[in-house]
Amino acid sequence: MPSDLSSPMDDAGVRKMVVEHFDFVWRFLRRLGVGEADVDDMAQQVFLVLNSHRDAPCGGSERAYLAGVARRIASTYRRTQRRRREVAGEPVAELQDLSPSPEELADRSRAGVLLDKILEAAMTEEEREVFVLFEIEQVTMSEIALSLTIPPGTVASRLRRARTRFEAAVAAWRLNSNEEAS
Amino acid sequence: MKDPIRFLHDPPNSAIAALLSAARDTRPPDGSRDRVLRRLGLGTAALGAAATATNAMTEGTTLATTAGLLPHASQASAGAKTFAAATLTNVSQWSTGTILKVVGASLALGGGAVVGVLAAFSEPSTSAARPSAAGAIAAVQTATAPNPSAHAEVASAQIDDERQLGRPATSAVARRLAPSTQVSAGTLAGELALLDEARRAPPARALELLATFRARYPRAAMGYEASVLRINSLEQLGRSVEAVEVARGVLRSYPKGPATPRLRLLVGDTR
Repeated sequence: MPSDLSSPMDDAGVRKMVVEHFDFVWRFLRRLGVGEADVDDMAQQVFLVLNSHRDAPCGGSERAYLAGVARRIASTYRRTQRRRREVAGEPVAELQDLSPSPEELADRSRAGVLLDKILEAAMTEEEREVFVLFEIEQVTMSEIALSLTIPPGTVASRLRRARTRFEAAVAAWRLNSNEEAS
Repeated sequence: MKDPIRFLHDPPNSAIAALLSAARDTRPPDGSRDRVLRRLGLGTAALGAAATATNAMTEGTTLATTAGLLPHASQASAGAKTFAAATLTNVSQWSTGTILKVVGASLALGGGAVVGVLAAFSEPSTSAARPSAAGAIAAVQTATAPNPSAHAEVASAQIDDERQLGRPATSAVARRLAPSTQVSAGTLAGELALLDEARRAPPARALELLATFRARYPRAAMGYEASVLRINSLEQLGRSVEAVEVARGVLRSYPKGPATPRLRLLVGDTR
């Protein structure tokens, strides 16, 4: 949303939002579990929502507003995917499915896949949203509270739990890969 | 509220550093952002769009010829050129899929650019993101003489097109133009011209034109598109309660319409 919240955003304002925040929205959706084949479409949905609500208030933070829209779209997407998997009877992915060695983490695409597996397996959807925004997207806790419309204390507790779970999951994975190597 | 130090700045171990740093460096593929800008009608890549149009026209020609809908390649080429001239100024706003549909269907009919407009209406809207119906109709007029079974052929082309794109052939457009549908070319052109005028008009004027549309064409072939335009206009005027009400009606009548995802968001249905 524009800095001047008293007037609806014009084309230039929407364009600026896309140019400045597209990478952020795309990456956030990806880390919330939107599949690679779908993330472009979902990112597009976020900006279509922005475009059709040009005069909606955003509380002063463009990034927080977009994050709020993105997490709702990602949440719907994930629910749909879960339903599809259930109908198809597909097994849920396990952490052990992918065990690159610590050296292999230098391969960034594999690191991304492993990270997604850990996020998926180790934390709840709510914790994941806070963790990704804070640890990867470098969003401040007060902005996260604004974007997710939750109290700051809830952001802090979700982040604390998410960090603990994340550390534990990474430690378990390292132990597992060390055992396999020896 | 004081933020803790991020893992990225003070990682507990090298694995966490590697994982988070890789995530932070992730970037969308080239062109993703520009596609969104074009979809919103905010793109500026005219040269890129021309190249896309050329490629899509080639694909469209191939598609129509393969489907056995074009007896002569030269006819396809002439149709493509005519259509391109009529619509190139707007083509930068279309997705490749839409262009392919438009060109493929228009070639199949010789004068079937009308269907291109139908297909383009299936895209969620911005006013700039739509092709010109007037341009499409001009293409119709300068192309080969209409075929008596034109609508049936276009419906087949559209269905084949969707099958080739891996989608079920169930779009409102394809159904509407199925052989059982009796819509004269004159009526369809009239509907399109009126809708095109409404699309380019300011929202208040657009609503007047859409009321005229409803009165003039009570059993319109383009009723769905007219309703979506009406919703857009109501939204632009800030009449969101009415927009939601109309959207609910449209969703009830066309639960699988091309604008369904957007309308669901509008009515707050996040299924």
